[in-house]
Amino acid sequence: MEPLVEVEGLTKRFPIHRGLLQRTVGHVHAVEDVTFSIRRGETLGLVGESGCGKSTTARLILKLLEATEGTIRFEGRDITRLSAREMRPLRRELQMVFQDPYSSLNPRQTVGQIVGTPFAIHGIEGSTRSKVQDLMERVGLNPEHYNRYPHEFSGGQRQRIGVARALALSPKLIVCDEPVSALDVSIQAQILNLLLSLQHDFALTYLFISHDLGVVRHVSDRIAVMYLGRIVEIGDAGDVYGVPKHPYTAALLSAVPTGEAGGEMKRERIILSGDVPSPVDPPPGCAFHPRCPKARLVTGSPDEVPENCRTEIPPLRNSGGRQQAACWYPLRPDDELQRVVSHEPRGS
Amino acid sequence: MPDGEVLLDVSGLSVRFPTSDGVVNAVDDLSFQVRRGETFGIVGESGSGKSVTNLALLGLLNRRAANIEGTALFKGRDLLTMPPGELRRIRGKEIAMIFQDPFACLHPMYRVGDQLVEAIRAHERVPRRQAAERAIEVLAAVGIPKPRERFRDYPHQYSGGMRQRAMIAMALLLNPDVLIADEPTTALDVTVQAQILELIDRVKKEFDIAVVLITHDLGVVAEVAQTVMVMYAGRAMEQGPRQQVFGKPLHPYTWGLLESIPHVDQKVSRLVPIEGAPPSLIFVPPGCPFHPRCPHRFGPCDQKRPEFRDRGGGHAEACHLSADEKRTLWAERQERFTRAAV
Amino acid sequence: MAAYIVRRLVWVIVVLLAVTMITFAIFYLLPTGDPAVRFAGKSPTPQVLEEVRRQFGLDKPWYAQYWHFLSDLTTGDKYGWPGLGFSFDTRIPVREELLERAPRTLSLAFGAAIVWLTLGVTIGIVSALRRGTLLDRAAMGFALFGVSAPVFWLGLMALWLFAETGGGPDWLHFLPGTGYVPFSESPSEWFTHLIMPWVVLALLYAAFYARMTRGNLLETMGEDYIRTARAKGLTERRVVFKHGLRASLTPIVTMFGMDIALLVGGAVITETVFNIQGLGAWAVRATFNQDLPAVVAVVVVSAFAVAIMNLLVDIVYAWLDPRVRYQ
Repeated sequence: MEPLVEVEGLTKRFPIHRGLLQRTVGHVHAVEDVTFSIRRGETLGLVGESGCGKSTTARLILKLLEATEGTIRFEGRDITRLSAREMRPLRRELQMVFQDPYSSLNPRQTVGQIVGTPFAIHGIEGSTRSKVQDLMERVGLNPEHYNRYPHEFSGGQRQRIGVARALALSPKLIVCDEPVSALDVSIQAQILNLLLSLQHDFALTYLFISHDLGVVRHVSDRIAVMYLGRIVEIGDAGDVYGVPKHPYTAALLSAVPTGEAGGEMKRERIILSGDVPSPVDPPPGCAFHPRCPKARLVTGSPDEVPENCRTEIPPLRNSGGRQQAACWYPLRPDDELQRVVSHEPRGS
Repeated sequence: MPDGEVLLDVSGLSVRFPTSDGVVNAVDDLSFQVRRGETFGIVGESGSGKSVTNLALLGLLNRRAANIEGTALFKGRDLLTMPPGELRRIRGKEIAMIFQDPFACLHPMYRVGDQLVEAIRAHERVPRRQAAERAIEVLAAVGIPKPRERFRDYPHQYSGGMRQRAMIAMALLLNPDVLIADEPTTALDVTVQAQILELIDRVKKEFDIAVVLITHDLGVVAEVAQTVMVMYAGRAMEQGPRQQVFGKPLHPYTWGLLESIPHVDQKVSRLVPIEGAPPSLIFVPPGCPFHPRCPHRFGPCDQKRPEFRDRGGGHAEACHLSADEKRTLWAERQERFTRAAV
Repeated sequence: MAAYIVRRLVWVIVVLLAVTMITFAIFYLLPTGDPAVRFAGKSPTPQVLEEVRRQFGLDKPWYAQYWHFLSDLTTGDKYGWPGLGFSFDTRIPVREELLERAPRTLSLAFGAAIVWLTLGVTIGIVSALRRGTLLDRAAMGFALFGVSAPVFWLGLMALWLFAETGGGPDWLHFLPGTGYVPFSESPSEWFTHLIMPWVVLALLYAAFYARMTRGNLLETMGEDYIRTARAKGLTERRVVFKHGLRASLTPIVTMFGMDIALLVGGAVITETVFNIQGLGAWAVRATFNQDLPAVVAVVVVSAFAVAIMNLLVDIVYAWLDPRVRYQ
């Protein structure tokens, strides 16, 4: 079966303007040469740290931003260069759930209006009220609260309103951008369960974005890990999390506190040194090489990385596992990364 | 059980804010002790009172707006009744704090170094140059590369992780006894979070201090704390050594929290959420505040407030269920949970 | 920073060119009547009119006149540098009149600015720190009064109460009446004559500044870095005056610069009420009398003031806020 969404070579660069004439002096490389597809009915999780380009990728797919390069196909049709007008009929197929349930709902509209607006915009016939109330019930809200305003609801309930709004026009793809990050842990699970059961009932396809690796693992069938605008690893959730092939994925997973250390931080954790470089001037070659523990393992020296890591951008390819990774020296089971960079960079 | 000297002994702490809508019961009858050399983790969701507790201890709440009761002995002196001037001399010198958002916590218009120097000179009469040397030393100790140059930078020239390091440096300048870290890694990315947690753990050992770590992230607490207190609606629900609280949790709220968190290393078909939402702190449910959301509630739960009692080995909790009932219930829930794992 | 200032100065020139050109264009595009008719006296012969037009340069198209104006402005004319021509109305060289009037307006504007800045910021700080108390409410009541009282009414009331010539109780009459005495003639007279206009003009602005300072300071005191400052054990005085005030005064700097600049263009009402023959009164008269050279002169001075104050504000802002400096 053909995938619902196919993205190829997707690139977004934001120009930086400076000076008297506002000349373009450089670019923020937000998304660089990203290729993946989302199959019908599956959840593709997109993880990465802030500034890795995951949210920009989502906005490109929804055509909220114009891609610099690359193509986006939705149900086989190239939608990359469609105008806003041509996109309109497609808008009902592509919906979004936002992070902040407090600011993404218009405080002056009732729930009925918020959830009912999509029907009006797309000229759907019939009783809006009963449709909205059905939806409210489905997402776990009391249909009698039809006339209430967002501020009368708790954070979790507001996120249910956001989900109902996204669901109104029976979309095919819902992009969930950090949908539970603003919620308390006891509420997060409610929303995650809701999203999963809706997916089951309505055969929805999700693109699920989060910085929380546990949350992504829970909802995703496949996972793509992003670093500095590029996908560094992509594959089935179990493969990517179970036997990561890219050193960054491994470091990311090992950084998540799970409590296994017994309160002493004994677990041998890969601690990356330094910060994520600026996307304005990403490192040449593999963008991860300045922090990469595996590259240092290869050379056997903490100050050296192999030539090709510094000069050539590794392609996303099969790397010994079932998933694909963009690494010249994909991880092997016996690599002991925590030995390489286990200490804090001490100031001199 | 950690055996260092007791540095902070809080008992019967209550914080109430009278507002036009009613009285907000932010913290209700809280007692705990923090010892030298341990990390004391306070975990709770928003509105559980975990942050207010510490602001109250340090006199950082507006005394006109808040009603504070109870005692908080720091090395034998009560922080809550101390004159403001005396408390100010303790703040930053003997008890230091770092906060959630390192982007907002440093003054954007002053050089990082100047802010550090100012912290030293608020408590000690030392020449600027000498204070600066000490600040640079501490910046180096918390892992700021090229500290002598970074000393002259402004906060916006630092990354998020570096800013939190600078905040930690600021806290350590005067060799405090207690470091209160309020959500120190919440605003940071996970790889940076790991760096900062390791740093906090390291300075705890090197400087031999007590750390009070406040967070909503159970994983973080489980990772670095020796003693854990779980808070809900301004009250302590459960408290004890880390292995006890996470290994043999006794309170249904703790159970709920543990089951509702998705894990990186284990996939379950379905999370078990806690139904409902945390209560308003103006209308805290009578009896046990958790009872409306508790699947195991029975007779006395909505009537009588459960006593917060030690159930042996320093493991205390507040729930009406008997020890036997709990053992059975937790075993049942665990079995269901493991069956759901795929 | 130097390169930045040079770039900004280039901008100032561009802005001045644009503003003067627009003034010229408007003057000739709008049906304002023929200035030559006024100048030529009652019922002039066509020959006289023609001669006047030729002398004024009015027989040439506006862009030619504009070019002439520009070259005079840069190289000077027979009255000196900068060449601004002579007034169609009074026939006095514009430059002379400008030099006569500018000090009056500048004295008024800067004096008032000092008054309102001190008054407004002080009131703002006090009422922010004493929020909700009687003092705060009194201060905000004053602010409301200052904002809503019309300047001309305040001016007339002040004159009635305090001026020698006023009609109010005699024992209050300790200030001279209207008019202006140059500083070079008598500093004390200069001062006493200006006290009332300063205060009257400043009252309106002080009210705005008080409210703005109060609001900014309250907002700043809720910032996380203020909590940090307290947590490190600083005294409350230091927390407020070093950490709180610096951040809350930066927006006020912007407003202050613009307010002064706009006043240079003329505080017409105050100048009129207190009979200070400054730029504002001049601008009004010149506009009514189609006195193009005078109008252009005032426009140039005001635009220059706005542009320069803008530049100053940016420099001060960069000095106050490093984030701007390093962009």
